[in-house]
Amino acid sequence: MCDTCGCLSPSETGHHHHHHDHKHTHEHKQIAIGESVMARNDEYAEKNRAHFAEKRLFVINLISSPGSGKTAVLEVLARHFGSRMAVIEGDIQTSRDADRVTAAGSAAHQIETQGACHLDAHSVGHALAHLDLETVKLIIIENVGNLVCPSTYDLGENEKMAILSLPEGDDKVLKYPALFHRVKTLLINKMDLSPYLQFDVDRAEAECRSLNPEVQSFRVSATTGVGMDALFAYLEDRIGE
Amino acid sequence: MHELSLATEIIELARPHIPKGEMLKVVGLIVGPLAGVCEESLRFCFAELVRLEGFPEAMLQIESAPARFQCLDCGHEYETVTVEQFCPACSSMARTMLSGTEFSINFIEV
Repeated sequence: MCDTCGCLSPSETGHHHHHHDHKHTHEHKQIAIGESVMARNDEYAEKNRAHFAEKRLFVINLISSPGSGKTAVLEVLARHFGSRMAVIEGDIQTSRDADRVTAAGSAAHQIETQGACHLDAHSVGHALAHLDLETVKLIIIENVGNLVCPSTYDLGENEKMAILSLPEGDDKVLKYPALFHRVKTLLINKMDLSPYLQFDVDRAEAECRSLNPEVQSFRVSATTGVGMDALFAYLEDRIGE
Repeated sequence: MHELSLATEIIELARPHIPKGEMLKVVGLIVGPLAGVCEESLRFCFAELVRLEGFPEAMLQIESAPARFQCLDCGHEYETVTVEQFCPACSSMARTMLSGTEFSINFIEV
């Protein structure tokens, strides 16, 4: 029994607070549908995927919390890959991230989501038109900083990459399983802070593997460059395929 | 937080299935624990939207689908609603997910 309205349970009533006498005796007619709620997004995602394949691009959907170092990692990658990499930036407001990536040597296009908490495949499709892809082999889509909403939206990428940074805590993987079971690569960032923080890297990696046995983990610091060579090698491999 | 977008999507997908002159009464969803959907928030957004869209009686009927895993150590297949539950046969964390991300409209009622 619900304390708010005295209804039986959310699943039985839909928690819909009626302001009129609603007798549940109507003859309802049921129509089968069987369609994914994400169907329209997935259609755009498939279009993006076909476009990426045609241009022989390797595309990563990068997802993490705000402040975990997504843009700092991208700056390091931009210095390594230069004009072979382009970035699509999703931010609620400002073009600060795109400016940083451009200054580090790669092309970037900003999508200001104006409040939306995630990127969808449709907006990514439009963003592609703004990038000169002549020399580009690798596209990284920096999603809005958020561990929840972006995980549901397929953008047509080849793989999802998550960043988990040491100050966030080592318990986040199972708290946000919808993201971590979908990621192919996990970056544990800010490793330079490990002397100061209680973060059990083995635990975070093991929990991520429990959701997704094939996940590849990289322990890195965007600030000091530690571990970045392994990430460069991984990405060089991917774009070479 | 993205539940408003999802509720909008649900209504847009249901709309063409509503026969002319009928009112949408129920949308039946199937939601897995790894779909990344907060049911309470989805119900809240849906209730507001259907009021604005002229289907004030419409409500969601959500069927929770369990996640299914297979243990990589002993091969046992198990269902769970919480991802913190590891293999009930051998307690191993090593597993592969068989299902759990379902998020679909099963039916509507008019």
